[in-house]
Amino acid sequence: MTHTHMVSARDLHKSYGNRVAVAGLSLEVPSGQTLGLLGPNGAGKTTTLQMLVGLLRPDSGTISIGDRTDVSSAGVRSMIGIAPQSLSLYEELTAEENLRFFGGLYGLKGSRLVQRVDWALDFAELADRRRHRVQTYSGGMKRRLNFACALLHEPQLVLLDEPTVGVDPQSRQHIFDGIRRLQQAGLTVIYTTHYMEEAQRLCDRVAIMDQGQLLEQGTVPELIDRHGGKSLILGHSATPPPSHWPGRWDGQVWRLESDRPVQALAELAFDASQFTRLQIEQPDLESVFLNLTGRSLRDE
Amino acid sequence: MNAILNIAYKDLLLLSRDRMALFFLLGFPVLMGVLFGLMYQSSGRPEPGSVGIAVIDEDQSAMSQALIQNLTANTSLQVQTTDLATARQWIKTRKIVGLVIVPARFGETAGIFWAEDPVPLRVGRDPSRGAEAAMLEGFLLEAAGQLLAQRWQDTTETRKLLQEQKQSIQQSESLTAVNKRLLSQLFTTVEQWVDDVDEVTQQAEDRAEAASSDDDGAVGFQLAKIESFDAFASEQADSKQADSEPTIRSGWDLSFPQSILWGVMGSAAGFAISLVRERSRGTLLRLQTSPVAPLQILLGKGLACFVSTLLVVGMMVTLGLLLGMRPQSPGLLLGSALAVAFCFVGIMMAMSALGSTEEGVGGAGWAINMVMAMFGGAMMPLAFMPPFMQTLSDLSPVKWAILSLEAAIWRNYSLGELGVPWAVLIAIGSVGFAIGLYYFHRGLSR
Ligand SMILES: Nc1ncnc2c1ncn2[C@@H]1O[C@H](COP(=O)(O)OP(=O)(O)OP(=O)(O)O)[C@@H](O)[C@H]1O
Ligand SMILES: [Mg+2]
Repeated sequence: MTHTHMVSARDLHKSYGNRVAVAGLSLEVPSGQTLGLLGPNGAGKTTTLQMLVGLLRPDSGTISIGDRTDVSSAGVRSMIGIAPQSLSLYEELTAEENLRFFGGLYGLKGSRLVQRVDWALDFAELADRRRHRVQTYSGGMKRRLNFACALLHEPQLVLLDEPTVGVDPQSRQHIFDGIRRLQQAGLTVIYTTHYMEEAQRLCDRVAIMDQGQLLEQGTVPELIDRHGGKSLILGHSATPPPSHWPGRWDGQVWRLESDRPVQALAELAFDASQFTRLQIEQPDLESVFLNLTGRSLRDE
Repeated sequence: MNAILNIAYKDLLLLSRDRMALFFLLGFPVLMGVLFGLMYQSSGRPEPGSVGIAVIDEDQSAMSQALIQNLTANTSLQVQTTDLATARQWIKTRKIVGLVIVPARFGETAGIFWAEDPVPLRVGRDPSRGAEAAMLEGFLLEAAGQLLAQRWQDTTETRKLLQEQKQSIQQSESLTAVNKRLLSQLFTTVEQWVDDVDEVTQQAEDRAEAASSDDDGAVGFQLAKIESFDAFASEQADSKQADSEPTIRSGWDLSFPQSILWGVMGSAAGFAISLVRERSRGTLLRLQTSPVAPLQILLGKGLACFVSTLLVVGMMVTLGLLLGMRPQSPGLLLGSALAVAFCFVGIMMAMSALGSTEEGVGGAGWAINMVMAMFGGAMMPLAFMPPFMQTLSDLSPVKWAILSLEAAIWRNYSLGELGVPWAVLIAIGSVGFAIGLYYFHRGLSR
């Protein structure tokens, strides 16, 4: 039997005591695609991933990975690589020792192990620091190693739980490049984040979570189409627009909301010299989230 | 199996990078063994008068008289002066263990350690009672042991070491406040023991002074040259029966089994903490999402703990051998070491279930260690404890562990007699293992 979905989860529920973390989540990820799991702090993203790898047992619901439902079995575990949100490394060991140990857990040994460890050190750009203890690394280096540890055994499904938390732009770019390589190699990736730009940039599909529930899922353009709302046209000018124009004028800026901003402008046959600056703000995932929940995604 | 070895190797590597854990594993037992060994050198001798000897004074000088007086002052010895023929007869009837001939002109060189050709003391011994005869020589040659002892009896060195350790505990970044307090208290206790050592040593010195006050040449005898010979001459080879009496030949025999236990307890607490640390540092998550089974994770930890426990025993026995400890049965000692290691691996696993944080497990683990140590005779030999505590001690794994080690070192147990202590240790270890496994599994499947 061939399977088109690498991951499918149906109606997952999970509570810690009486705090509900995940409430009726269903999710499907086609093979070879990258799914962004987007949601604010406490939405239940980590809990969901931990159920997918069999770390947490769902209170109810079913999960299948590939065509297998025995998610805690050794066979399924070998298919999955996870880079946990909290760094999972032995600080007192070197990068190389960490990799050798984790590789060994997946049954790698001998020259194969050496080869994979070298590959992972390259991947994390830590080859020159391989014999240094992890406790001497920067946050970004630790993140990169945490990521590389998930790939040692060449999994088919990679789960990345907020892989860019606390890293500088350079390391972040490095991690993005790494994810691209995985995508090109045809791996299935689930990527959790609360940075919508990341999801927008990296993921084929995005699932938006809040308070344990999946609000929507689809490709980024689909979601924006459905829930992004109108674009906003902003025209900066010293003089008011013609009185028959729609929209509002506040003395400095003319604003108009529209589903099709370019057409709207064309229909008005406006004079370009009329504005000192013209802006069109298109809806993004942030607007999608705002429209779905009435709240902003970032908790700043 | 590969997975278990992989995990055990990783844990031993981590241990080798943890200076604090290493100190508790290796440094602390050495410190305790040497301190207590010195204490027992002066107080832990055999029953008063249990070792009978005869002295044949062929010199009849003031010096030879002083020597006899010194030997008599040793409460472990029962000294009688007689002639050679009678002494030989007594040895045959096993009335005495050995005879000491103080040859003519002994007094001329006695106490002059730079003498070119000193007249040797001759010790005649019953070959079948080799151990006790060796002890007799030991008494005569006390100076040799004291050379090493003096270094440690200079307690300023010891105090300095303890102070340094206390400081490094305070400054340690990896220790929590609770553990710091606990460990500091432990060191304060050890400092009090050092005071006790000082006191005991002072008393011993006072006694020695009192004994030799009427002859200031007494110290010189300690440097006497000793020759030994077979008191049965070559006339027989009959009584070959082995002596199955317990024989304590030095303070190390007493102090090492109990100090080994400090290292063993350190190993158990250290690995219990490291198991919880896997959880708090997130690495357990990787172990759990790998194809390795929970049982293998626990067995890997257990194996590392087992190996490090054997390492402590091995190191202490080697040190003991260098200092003059002579285990009666190396084979049984190995068996005891294995049983003790198994028991404490189980205890380690049960300890790891005591809490969910490193602080919690560390605090509770050491608290339990202290109680087990106190009632089990690792702080003070059982023989010195009030009867009710001796009864309670049966409940402490430490007691059975010390007994097993002592049994092979000086108690002269047979394999059969060791059955009970070994069985108790294995039973405790198995129960601990079951408890640890149960809670580990429960923690996994939330
Ligand atoms: N071990 C736990 N015990 C009790 N409650 C928990 C536990 N882990 C998570 N929760 C709760 O479950 C809910 C979902 O948490 P989860 O970690 O899955 O969210 P998240 O989306 O990953 O958040 P973040 O973006 O902050 O990582 C939260 O309300 C959280 O407080
Ligand atoms: Mg999370």
